[in-house]
Amino acid sequence: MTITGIRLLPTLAIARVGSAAEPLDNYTLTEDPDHPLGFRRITPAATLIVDTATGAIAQRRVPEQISFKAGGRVRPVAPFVEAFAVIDYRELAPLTMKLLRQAGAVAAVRWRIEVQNRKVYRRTRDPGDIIRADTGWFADHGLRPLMGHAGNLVENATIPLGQVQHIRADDAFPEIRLRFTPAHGLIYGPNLPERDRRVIPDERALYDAAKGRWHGWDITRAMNPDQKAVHETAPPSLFAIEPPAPPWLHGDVAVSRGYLDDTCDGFVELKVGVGDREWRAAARISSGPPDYAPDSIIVRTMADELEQIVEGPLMRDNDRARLRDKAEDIIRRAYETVRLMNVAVMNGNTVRGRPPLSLDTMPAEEAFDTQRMLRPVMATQNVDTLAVLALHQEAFAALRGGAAPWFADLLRQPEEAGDLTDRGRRKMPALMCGADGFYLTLTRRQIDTVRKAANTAAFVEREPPPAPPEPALKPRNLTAQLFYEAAGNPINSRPQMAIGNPTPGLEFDFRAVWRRLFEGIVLSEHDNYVLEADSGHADLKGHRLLWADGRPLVYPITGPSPADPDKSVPVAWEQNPNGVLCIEWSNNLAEMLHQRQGQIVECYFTAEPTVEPEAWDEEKRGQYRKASLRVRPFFEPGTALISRELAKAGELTQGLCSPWQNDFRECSCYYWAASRPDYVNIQTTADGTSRGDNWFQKNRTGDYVPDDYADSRLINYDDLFMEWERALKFQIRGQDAPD
Amino acid sequence: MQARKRRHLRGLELTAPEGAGAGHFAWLAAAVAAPDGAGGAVKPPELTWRDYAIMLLHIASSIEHALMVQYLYAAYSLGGEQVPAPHRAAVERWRAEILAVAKEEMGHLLTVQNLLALLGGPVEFDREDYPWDSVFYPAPFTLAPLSLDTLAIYVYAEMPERWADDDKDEIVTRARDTARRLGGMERPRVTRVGVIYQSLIATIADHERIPDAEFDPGSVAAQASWDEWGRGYRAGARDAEVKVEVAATRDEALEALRRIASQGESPDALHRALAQYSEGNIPPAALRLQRRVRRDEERAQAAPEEERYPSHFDRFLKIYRELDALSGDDEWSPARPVIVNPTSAAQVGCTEIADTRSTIWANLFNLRYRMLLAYLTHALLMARQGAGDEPLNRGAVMHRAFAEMYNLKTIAGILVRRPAGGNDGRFAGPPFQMPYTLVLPSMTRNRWRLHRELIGEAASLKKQLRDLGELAHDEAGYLTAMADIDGQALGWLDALIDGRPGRRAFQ
Repeated sequence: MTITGIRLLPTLAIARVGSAAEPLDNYTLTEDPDHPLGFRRITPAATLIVDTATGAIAQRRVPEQISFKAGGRVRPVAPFVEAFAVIDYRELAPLTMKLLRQAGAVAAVRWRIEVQNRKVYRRTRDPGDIIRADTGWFADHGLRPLMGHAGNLVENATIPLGQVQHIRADDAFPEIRLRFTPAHGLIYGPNLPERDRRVIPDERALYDAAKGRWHGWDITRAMNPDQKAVHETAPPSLFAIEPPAPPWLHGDVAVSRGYLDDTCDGFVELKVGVGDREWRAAARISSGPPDYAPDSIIVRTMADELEQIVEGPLMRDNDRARLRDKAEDIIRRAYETVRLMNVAVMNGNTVRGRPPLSLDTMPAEEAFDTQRMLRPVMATQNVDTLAVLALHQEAFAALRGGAAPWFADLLRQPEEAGDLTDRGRRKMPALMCGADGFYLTLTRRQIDTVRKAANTAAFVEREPPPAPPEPALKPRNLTAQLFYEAAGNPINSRPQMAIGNPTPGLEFDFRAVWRRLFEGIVLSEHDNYVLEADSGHADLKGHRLLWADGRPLVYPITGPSPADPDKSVPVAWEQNPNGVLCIEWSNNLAEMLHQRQGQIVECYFTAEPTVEPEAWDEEKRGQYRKASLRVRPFFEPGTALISRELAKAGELTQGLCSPWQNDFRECSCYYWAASRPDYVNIQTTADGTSRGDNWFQKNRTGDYVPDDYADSRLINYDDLFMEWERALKFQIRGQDAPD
Repeated sequence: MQARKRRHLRGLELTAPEGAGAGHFAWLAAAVAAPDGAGGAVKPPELTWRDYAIMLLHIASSIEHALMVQYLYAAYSLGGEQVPAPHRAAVERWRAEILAVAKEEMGHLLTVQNLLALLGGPVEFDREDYPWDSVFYPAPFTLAPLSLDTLAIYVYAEMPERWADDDKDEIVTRARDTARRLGGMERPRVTRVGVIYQSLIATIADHERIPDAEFDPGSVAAQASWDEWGRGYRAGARDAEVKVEVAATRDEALEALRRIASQGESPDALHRALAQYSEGNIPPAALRLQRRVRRDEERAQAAPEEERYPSHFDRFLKIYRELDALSGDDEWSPARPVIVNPTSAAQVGCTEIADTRSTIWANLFNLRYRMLLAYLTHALLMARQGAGDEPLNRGAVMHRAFAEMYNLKTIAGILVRRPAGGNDGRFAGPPFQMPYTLVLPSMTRNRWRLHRELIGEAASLKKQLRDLGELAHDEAGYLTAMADIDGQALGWLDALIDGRPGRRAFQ
């Protein structure tokens, strides 16, 4: 038995902020056998209690129940990262001191953690705005803070980005592991006397407004229109601004208050010296906001993204049980999303006489973007949440009963995201937003899973029982490593509970990972503009990538003819005169990534640099700029670690809101209802329809208050900035959980 | 057909014009071929013309309903482990094609309901049980597994007037042989449902028979729309083109009839048939229809072949030819060996499901079928009774109807995998037996009570199945899931019946 390498698992661990002293206990989600369509059960699981003074695990216990808050404070999600040894290239075994000693004299077990918060830098492009914390190599078991430094902080100031602890291995818990505890979810701001001291007290007025430009940052002043067009985030601004907010309702004026949060992402590295050999391994960690619907899972998650990357866009598994189980899971997640959405409002219905254009919904967003009249998506009478939910649940029941769902052809294909006709908008998932800002699609792999489950159902004599757990942990099984369930880690620390349609996202802005997929150029995270190019491809800077490896990357936007709703016509507007959409990278590049990692592919760019989006025209192929570019491997060689070349520390979160609380205020529920809920405490009324509260409602009256940034009945920006932990309520079984 | 309706049809010309083929939607051809331009319609005594049109719409509705169920049964029969792996993709495609036809028939059924609303007639979803021989169909309506024989009937029934491909004779002969084997009545020539539409056209187009005042444009708000009922089924978007036509005027009513008919008729036949109107004897509305048909014909002919949406005839013929080609010398069936005309209890002309568990599943199927029809009727009645202040709850009733369609599909899937209980080793199938009545109570509260009681009876049948034991994994899983959904529906109905708000939607 020979150690041939080491790994850190899971390779992507998600922490969630909170200021309670005790981290969240471990839990998982299980189906209620008597109520398979009901909420998943929050099932307490073995929790590791760390004695932070010694670094040892003091206790392993299964709590009686899971409390997401303690003393009115949110319990942080603090994941462990475990070390594994690769044995003889074939097996993965927990790495212990005993194992190391068997392999030879142990020189050292050392860790290093490097995390960054680059959210402000993403806007200002000032390196002084990058907050960096780097522990350097250490071996001890003390609680080690991650102190964030930045050039534009006041002298000697640091922002705590969390803490890490190398867990002391002992006979009871011999595995080598590290725990990452995130920061408290505090907001920091400028050292200016005119700041709002309720939000930024003196001890958090750490941004030196004399050195940095973040306070008062206004992209329209800092950049010319062309620069703004290509450097602006999508959606724009996404940071705390001087009131009134949000900017898109107030003349697109976004002047920054200069706020920063204490979230981050980066790397945990482990170095083990055995004899004269040294082994290294790394994992990614991140911190983000809590998941406020911890018994629901959104329809498209980071796990779906990663699975597509590893396994490809087609579902090649013919095992009927796995196919059916996966398709069931997708449908379940669809109705878990519906269940927390006020569908009638999100549909664009008039709400008690209030015009839908005044409410933040996907059809309203579509109307704003395309400068067309707002049209509800579904028939307005058909969209009560309970009715829509029941229909989704029936589809689930049908699949469980061995029937092929009728709706495989109802799923929106990625290329159809820009189809704004009713027939296009009514495809599933409906009323939600994708990473490209248009109607959400599932991953190609999810779509193929549902299709294949449907197409094979008729030939099965008896549905098999549920599939056994996924294959064992092996060095070559990247999926298992990505989704490894480390001891003590609750399910909401895993990619299965992180949103996968980043617009920009909550845990990650996963769009960032595609920017450097082609060696030599850096793309915008949200469209096909070439932001940077190295010397070998300098002539591509400012051009747009239109076509890669046999596939166009831009697609037309179409909508109904005003004169004939059944007729489809091109849709263009001032900022998008060619009426094209660069569909999200994740689905756009899935096939190429699966087939061509490490290989050179043929690409075509616009003939000239252009800020305006442009359509791919096959007949103009000869006029475009052609380049052969190598596709970067997605993972570090032989591991399930997302390549450092693709995303450096801080880059997976840099596109998110600064502070993240802004996203909770500004994202409406056409993004991620099953993580950031919308419609809660739902009851059936005497007329058979639903009533309930807006999650953001201060007083729970059962009378849904439509989302409105200026309605004092709803939690506003400053409420969140000052007391988000108190204001936001976890939703268990669709009801407010007691604090 | 019920005698009480049949007695009024003696005046109808029940045979097709020579050469018109058997297309059951060759209605226009038949309508315009009649010498008097009135489709041979003779108003029966005791009925007004409006009354007569309503009765014909009821007959059309019952036939559309019967066709839809017949096609559903054929589609559900497809599959099984006996299908060789290389043929499975084709079988799955056929299944989707036939289901598409069934969905389109559902659109026709709803369009007929809209025309009833326009004329002030009652909602009608009734039909006769299988087997049911009708003068308007070339063979007895039969629930049978898909085969070349049954396909031949479908092709023959939907066949346009001037189709003359090489395999026509073979298909027609096979269809006639099959019809005889199924016990069909002797037909010197085939009469089609087209005759019904022929008379409808002649009646509705004629302003002297039905004056303008008889068309209620205000009924549009109460009519089913594609928006609400279409489920996104549009050509190019999904695999079916469900036409739910709304009509506010005489011309729109004629247009609606034409559109649903065009799914079953070849454009070429329509064009030639219209030319047979006798000069000077065409009602103005029929004349306008004729012009619209010509215009659309020209457009259709100019359109590329790939943009033409397949008619039912196109779909069935394609499947027939593909199955014929794949059959070759190999002995294989695309369908499970399900029984013909299954019933949950012995009945003449039917095959009783004798296996105890399968019988209860069949009962459950019939019950959910009744629930579907009750929700459908209720949703349409709510619309017609102007329940505009509760629009979302009408939507909820509609969704329950859609949900029951999922239930029917699932239970059908279970039945075709279960033994029928006979000695021949055949499998059961969904019986689609009609409830004793489709009439809903007149008081709203009692309608909700009916829905609640049906759910209660479903629970009783589920319990019987559980008590018998030996449930397969998918059967048990489905029953639990169905119970869960039914529990939520009961909460909804309790709130409506008891009038007590405040129940938590999720327990």
